[in-house]
Amino acid sequence: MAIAATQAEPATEALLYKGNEALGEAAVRAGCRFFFGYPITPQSELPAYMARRLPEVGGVYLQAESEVAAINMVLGASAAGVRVMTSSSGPGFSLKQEGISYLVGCELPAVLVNIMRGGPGLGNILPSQADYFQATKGGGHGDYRLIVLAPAGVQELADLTGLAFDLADVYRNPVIVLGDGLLGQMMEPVRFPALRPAPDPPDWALTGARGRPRRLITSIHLAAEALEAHNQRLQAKFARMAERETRWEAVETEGARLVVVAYGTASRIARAAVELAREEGLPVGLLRPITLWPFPAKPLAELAGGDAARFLAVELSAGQMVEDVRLAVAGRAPVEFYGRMGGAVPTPREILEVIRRQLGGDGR
Amino acid sequence: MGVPPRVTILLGHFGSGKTEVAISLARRLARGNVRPCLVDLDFITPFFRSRDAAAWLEREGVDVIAPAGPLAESDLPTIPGPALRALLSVDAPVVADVGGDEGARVIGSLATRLRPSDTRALLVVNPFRPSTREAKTVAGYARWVAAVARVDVAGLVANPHLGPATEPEHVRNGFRVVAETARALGVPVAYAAVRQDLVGGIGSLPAEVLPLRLAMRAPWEPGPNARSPGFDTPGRGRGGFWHG
Repeated sequence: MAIAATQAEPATEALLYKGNEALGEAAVRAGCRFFFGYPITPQSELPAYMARRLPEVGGVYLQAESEVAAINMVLGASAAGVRVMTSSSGPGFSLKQEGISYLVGCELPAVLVNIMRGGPGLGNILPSQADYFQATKGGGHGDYRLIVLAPAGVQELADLTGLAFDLADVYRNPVIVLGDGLLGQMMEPVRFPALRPAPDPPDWALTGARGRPRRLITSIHLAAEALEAHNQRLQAKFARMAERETRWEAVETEGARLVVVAYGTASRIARAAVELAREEGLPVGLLRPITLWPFPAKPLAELAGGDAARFLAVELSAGQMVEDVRLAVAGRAPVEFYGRMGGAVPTPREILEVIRRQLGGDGR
Repeated sequence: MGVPPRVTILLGHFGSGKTEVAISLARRLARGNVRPCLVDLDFITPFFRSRDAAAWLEREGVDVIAPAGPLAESDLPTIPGPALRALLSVDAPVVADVGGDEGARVIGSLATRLRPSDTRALLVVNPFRPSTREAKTVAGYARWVAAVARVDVAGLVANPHLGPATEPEHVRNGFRVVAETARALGVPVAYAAVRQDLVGGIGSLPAEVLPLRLAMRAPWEPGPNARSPGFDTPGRGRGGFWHG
């Protein structure tokens, strides 16, 4: 199917976007022309944006009958060689897990957005980071890994969405953009790059076999040796991803005795707390993972081998990422955890109190 | 506009700034003799709603009417009984804050009961939002939202800003787009909403300036009081979960 040519849309000046809307505009500008989804708070502005925006660029928005249908539409579109996105939150994202495993097995690129809300179960519609395990440890079946990008602001939501499409294509593997309700709902100024045309289908895509040998996209490999060979190839690919695609931001970690580790919304709050602590002369820094998988274990290990005497993971969960921090630090320093659950969000002062406690006495 | 009608309904696009305008308008009304009500009818946005600033507003002399108990943290389309009384049958001045876009349907559902002589609907416009950048699109939007809410739009509230990146020139340039829209629609610009720290730098605008003291802040931003509205209120969890 030919996608209609679209008019040139240059890079934008700064505009005020909600996080969820910015995800949509960034996807369109990255050449995404297909979106299949199902509404769920707090990410519904994204499908709503795509429903209005995609027809303007010759794209297709379809509200599926369920999240399961939506992820399988994503699989079909991706097999046809187009850039495609879906999004959901908590319960809806759980429903997509079978399809995500199939995408990985078929080596199909796609960008998948989870704007996390309070769980488990229906939970509530407030911000949460309790889907970290699901995103980074494989929420579906089989041995697989996905690059998981964790933006911490509206501009970064846009930037990382563009990156997500490129990484998905490079590795032929789905990429998750993991945000939370607060990031999805908040508004910040954002600039977008120029509109990229939808790319031509790659040489593996199912585009009709007239005049060429047929192509096959499948995740079924009945013989043990065939499936093991397929898995070995996938694992080699995941190893390349881990080697090349780890991203993080270090804020005042040099010489810090206590390193706070936080991503996304929690990192915004932690950053404000670290600034307050620095004003009091406390030797505190922040390490913010931008990729949750691959996890920035190496910089954490280096800090643990240097000046950092303690680590504090802060999450909007009961403590999930903290397990990866502990693996990275590998017993060289104590790793403690502070979190809020169920949609409660800590204040910077609350984190500052924990930092003071950690560095109490002669801690500094 | 002379003495404004008792009830002001704020309509507008997602993220146009209705809530901040509603809060500042209600705080201004609180200077009068009768304690005003801010009626939060937003069931579109899951958070960053007037109810999140209720404790502060009560202290500032504004009664906030919103769904009670756990419903306050839902996006279910409920209309509390006290909201109906405030809109239809009390004497107090009322500002009604509704959800963006389709959120105007809640007003549409009440339209036959609202008294036109008692009520005005204003459209809040921020030309730095993606769908309301040009006068022509805003005018089209105004007609659509008026049809959804089944009320006439009596005036516009210019709310031109780029969040923390706002400069005085953004306010002045954005105001021009809103004024052009108002001319196209044949209605006045009822207010120019301007963040209070920018008011001094923008010079004069041909509209009444409504200084905004921002209340809808992210948890890492300083709020109008020591607590961050909505994210540090009692009942939102009893302290953090800690393990070493």
